[in-house]
Amino acid sequence: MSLQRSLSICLSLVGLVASVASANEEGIAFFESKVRPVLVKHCYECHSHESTKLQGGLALDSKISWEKGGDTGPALTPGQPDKSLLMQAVRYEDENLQMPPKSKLAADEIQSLERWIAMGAPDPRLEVVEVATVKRVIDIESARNGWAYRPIQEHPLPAIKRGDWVRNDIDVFISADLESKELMPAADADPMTLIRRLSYDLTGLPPTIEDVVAFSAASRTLDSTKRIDATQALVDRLIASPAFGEKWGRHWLDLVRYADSNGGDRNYTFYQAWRYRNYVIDAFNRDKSYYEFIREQIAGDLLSEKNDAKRSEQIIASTFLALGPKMLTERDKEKLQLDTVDEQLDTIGKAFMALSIGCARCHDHKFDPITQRDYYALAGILRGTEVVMGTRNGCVNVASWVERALPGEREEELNQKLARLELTMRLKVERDFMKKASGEKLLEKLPLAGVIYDEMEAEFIGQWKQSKLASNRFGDFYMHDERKNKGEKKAIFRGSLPETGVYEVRIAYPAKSNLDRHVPVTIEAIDGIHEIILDQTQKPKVAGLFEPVGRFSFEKGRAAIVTISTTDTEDYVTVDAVQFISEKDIDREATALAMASGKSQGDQLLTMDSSSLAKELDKQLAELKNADLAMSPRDFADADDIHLRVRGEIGQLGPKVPRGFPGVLFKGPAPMIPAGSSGRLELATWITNPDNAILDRVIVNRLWKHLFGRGVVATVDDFGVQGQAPSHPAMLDFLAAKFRASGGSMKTLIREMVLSRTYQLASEGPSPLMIADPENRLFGRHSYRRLTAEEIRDSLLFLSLELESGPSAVTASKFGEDLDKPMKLAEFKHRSVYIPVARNNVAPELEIFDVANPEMTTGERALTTVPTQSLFLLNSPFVIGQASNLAKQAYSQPQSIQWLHERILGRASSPSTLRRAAAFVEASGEDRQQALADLAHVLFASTEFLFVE
Amino acid sequence: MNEFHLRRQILKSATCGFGALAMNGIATAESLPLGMHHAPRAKRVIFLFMHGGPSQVDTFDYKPRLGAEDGKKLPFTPAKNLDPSATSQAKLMASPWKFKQHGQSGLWGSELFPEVSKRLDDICVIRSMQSKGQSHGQAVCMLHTGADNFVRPSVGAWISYGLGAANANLPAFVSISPPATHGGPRNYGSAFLPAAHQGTTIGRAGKLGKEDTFRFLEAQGENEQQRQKIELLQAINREHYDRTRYAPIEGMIESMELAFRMQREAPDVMELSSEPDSINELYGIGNEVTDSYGRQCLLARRFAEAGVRYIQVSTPNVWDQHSNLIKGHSANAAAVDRPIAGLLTDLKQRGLLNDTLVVWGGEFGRTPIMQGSDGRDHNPQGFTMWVAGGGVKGGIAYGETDEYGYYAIKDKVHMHDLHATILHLLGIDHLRLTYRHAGRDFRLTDVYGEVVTGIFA
Repeated sequence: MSLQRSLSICLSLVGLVASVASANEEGIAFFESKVRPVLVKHCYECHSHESTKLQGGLALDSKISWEKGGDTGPALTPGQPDKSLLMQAVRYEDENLQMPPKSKLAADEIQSLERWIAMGAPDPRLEVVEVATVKRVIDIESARNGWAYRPIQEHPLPAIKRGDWVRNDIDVFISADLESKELMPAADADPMTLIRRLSYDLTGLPPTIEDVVAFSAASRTLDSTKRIDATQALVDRLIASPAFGEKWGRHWLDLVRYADSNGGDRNYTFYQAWRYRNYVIDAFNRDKSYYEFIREQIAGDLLSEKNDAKRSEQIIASTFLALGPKMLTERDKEKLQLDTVDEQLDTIGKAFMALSIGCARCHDHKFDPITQRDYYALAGILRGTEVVMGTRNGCVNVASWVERALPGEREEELNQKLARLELTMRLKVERDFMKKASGEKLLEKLPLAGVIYDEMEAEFIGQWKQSKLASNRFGDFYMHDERKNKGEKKAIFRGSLPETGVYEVRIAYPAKSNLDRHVPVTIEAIDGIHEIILDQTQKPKVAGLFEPVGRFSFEKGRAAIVTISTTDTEDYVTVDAVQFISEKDIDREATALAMASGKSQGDQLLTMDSSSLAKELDKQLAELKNADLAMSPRDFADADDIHLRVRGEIGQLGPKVPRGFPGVLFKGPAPMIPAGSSGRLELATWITNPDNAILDRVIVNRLWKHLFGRGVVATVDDFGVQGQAPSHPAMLDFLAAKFRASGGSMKTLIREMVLSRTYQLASEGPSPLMIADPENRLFGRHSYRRLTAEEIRDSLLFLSLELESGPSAVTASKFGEDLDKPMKLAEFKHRSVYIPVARNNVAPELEIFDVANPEMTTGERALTTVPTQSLFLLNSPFVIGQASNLAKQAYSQPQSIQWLHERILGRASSPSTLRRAAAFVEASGEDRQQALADLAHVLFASTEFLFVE
Repeated sequence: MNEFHLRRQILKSATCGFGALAMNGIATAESLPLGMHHAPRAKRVIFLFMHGGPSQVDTFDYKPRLGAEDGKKLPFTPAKNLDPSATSQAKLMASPWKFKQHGQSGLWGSELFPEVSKRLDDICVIRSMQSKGQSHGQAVCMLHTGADNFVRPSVGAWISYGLGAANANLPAFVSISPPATHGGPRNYGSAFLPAAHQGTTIGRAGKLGKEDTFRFLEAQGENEQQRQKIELLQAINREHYDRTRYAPIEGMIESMELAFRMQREAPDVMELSSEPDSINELYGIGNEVTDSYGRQCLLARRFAEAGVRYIQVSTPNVWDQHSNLIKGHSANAAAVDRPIAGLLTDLKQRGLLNDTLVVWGGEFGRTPIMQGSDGRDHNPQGFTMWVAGGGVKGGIAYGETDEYGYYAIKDKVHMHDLHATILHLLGIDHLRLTYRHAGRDFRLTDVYGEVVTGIFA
């Protein structure tokens, strides 16, 4: 590992604090008798310089330490207990900050701390404290020179002795390495082995026996050029077949945790995910440039292709971002957003760059040169991207996701339907909220609630009196000033708005003749403070309840402050509620109000009650499930930089971090991201630019791994310090450069790899090689591999001639709104890649043989050997059924036993094997077809069938 | 079948990359030390999962003050993210059930659990549980995997990974009728651990059919016919192995032998009909109300006896009484009370309780606050779980909630702490049971977890 980093040890010598202790003796005495014992007993274990590990960076054993504070700032503000973090923590006010963590302090202990802080926190502990803090600083500059991150190096081909052995450049690198260790490679694989290997590796299906015979015959020629030509022809045919994309697309789907349902807490069906799957298969078959492939997946929805078909593809590609498993019932919406971002970031990092970026969410990466700032620079881009929103089942706590219409004749119409669906979701949530917030009938006249703050959410200055005398009020009560102490009293509403934009501000008051006619109201908007005078004797215009006072621009994340005061008033001033309603909703609201009073027609949604809206939502979701939509994300209108989160806690805001790319891979100023854009376009451009060499290294390594059984970098998903260094770094860079020069053609590279002599070697090598390199790190021979789950299932269907070609018309939507119940797939005869992937419920015949867990990036599937696999092979009705189907064909063959062996194992079997099989069939009794079915069953379960050499 | 002798424990996995080293640490037999960091107090765990979240203030956490202030406005600030309806007009709701002190210990138990209450002297009631996740999905995953938002291996998978199987013919981790929702298989999954460690399931979503068995365990065709097939198959495979000497092929051969033995042994373990009437009676089997959970608990005992390390027994997702608390909780408790008490009694009479840790609880508790007119919302801020047997003290209560039973305030036990404690009791140091994945060492307790030594016997 050449990754450089340094541990810089900062020995901070804290000087003697000038001992002009202002605290009087009484205060010190109080500290000594009441406070110090509490701190020693309950806090020092984790918060003193004696602590094994100083928690949260906070020490409480000296004055200077608490003044400096920990990760979240100074521990206390002398004189102001209510503004002190320490008090917040010991009072257990914040769920996320409770100290001591295991048990709350006794009430008198809390009081002592409170009193002490109120006294100004007199603290005699002014002694010199020597703190040796070891803080790791990531040295980005030197990290950039690490093998994974640095620019692709030019490597001349190494000199070799066995020039006649090599067929292409790959062989030169491999041979040079073997020569240097004085090892001989294995012999070439025999033709039957080679065609089976090529066939499975390139298409995931076995060769037909006819192909085996023809290829073997062609290979038997002594003319090596002709042999090579025959292999090339075979390879070209296999790579050109549609089965190629079905095989290699599946590798990609493993990386991007593809699934047709959410998993997580609610396993809702992703009705539209299959489009992405088909897009991936098609991209491999058409050899789409890898860079374009990546760009489309990160930002396809933002690309500006004009052609409808092309545009569709791009939109569908961006489904990549939405595919992750999400906790849709998370009640904390910001956590839901940031967890979604984390999942996306983790996938982008691992799948495209083999970087564990996700590790830097809470702190700088422990091993790799990724800082927490890097994380939030990227997270800002994805936080500006909307994926989750709305409600799936009408409940505010069950989120849904964004969809959009695909280009085409119906695009406009479908987008309108989607807009209506989103409106339904919103109305449903608002209705429920209004019902909960107040029992008053009046509210039902408000078709859109916008954001409403009732008087109990305001801060009141001075004495106000609660009343429910007037019935035309919002909620249970309103407040009035008792016509006393005019000018001293006011009420302050601090609004928090979901989006930046223009809102109409409305004020609710119970209009009456004894109220004041000149109530001053100030509104703090983006452009400054506006003052308005409100006449509370006039009946409010909206539903007789809310009076519009003007339209103002507010910014998301900044308080929208409305103050109602009593200055210069004479009559009663009342405070009931404040409403912010987005400008775009006002027309809709007007329509609804007119409808409600029978004056006009309009969208029925606007006047529906909660239960009708729930039904309507279900209906609309069901209507759209098979429409031409894509599960594609979109940018938030107010996309912006986000705050770093201290220790990853959602509520602990650190500094705002400009959006950008990881420092170890990107040198230069932060990208210019236009207002209201997420920055995904910039991310897509940067990630695919030639300077980002890790992108090329990672994909080249992945392709290599799938063909040679082991990556040049064995840890295919981790190019970091914890991963392994490349076994052939020069070859990796050489191939990466070639790949870049080819414009990112995966087919070209795959072809080059399989046409190398190295790929075509036998699995058994000469014994010096086997002894020196049992794990085949040198690639001096080929590796065995077990068939994948898909290959096993597809082969069984293929051999019994039942496999249907192309994608199935059956998509996940056939199986209902969630995929929690086992899917009935007995009639499904298409390739396994087309079986809907139900998270939480993966088809057993696939799951048992180690398919990728669809919840996370899998660059290398596990290979397990467990009894359930054997039980499946022995007892699964599917395996038995396919054996039976094949036996029917065999029965009519003249040499049925030999025929079965050749079909299933792809080769002629030895006479002794055939004799043994014949004896088995003979001994099985009268029913010969059944006996043949049993034989087929045995062969299906045999390791000869299940492994590729 | 004699020729299929056991060559060695074969629950091994030809792992690639990181896993290989770690896998070598797996214990291969009942002989302890491999995989263990210290002498264990328990050899196995039975976790009784009450899906949906039973209420602590109606079961084992007696709160007289809550009773006295029934219908009053909240004297405390409720947790954030709570249903807004619960915050504006929230009122306290007394428990509709009476509490009594039981046994020598005088621990409190409500009339919902009359039978379990009789066993309180064997039980350690943890009244100060805390967890993460206000919604079921998060909290259920948190309970089972130690993570409320990410895909992580489940507790049983970690234990299987750490200790391996005690009986080579059975899996180390069995989940009886596991939840189908709220994460479903994630709750018995192995995530990034080798798949061999995921739970083997029987039944689903709290239901165990009389015919249910492990997947594909049921032999197809005649015994003799299958034996002949396997003989031929193994002959072919052995020839293949002799030619190639490739280890995973040998693994497949051994796995086939194990499967064949499992096919013979596992149905015996799962065959409940051999149990005497007195045992059926004890578990409430045959009684309509308790039959289902009774069979689940009895099966759990049989698995425990047969050497399974971690056995989970789940109720259906029935405990979520936002409304109909009285009816719902009454029915739910009635369905499990006798079976659970029966299980404790049965384990004890067989001497198994000493080294079997029984854990009871839901993903969270419920609020002392009224929801609607007869319901309670979710409460991960403070709730009750209990443990019994396997090296913990019986007849004690550990930790406290506030006077209303809302927040845990004393000796809080976070779910991470419970996980650390379970591992500790099994002889595993939760800080040292790690797995290298994606560039980092993961553990069940993430960066948290403290062993609750205060409950140890």
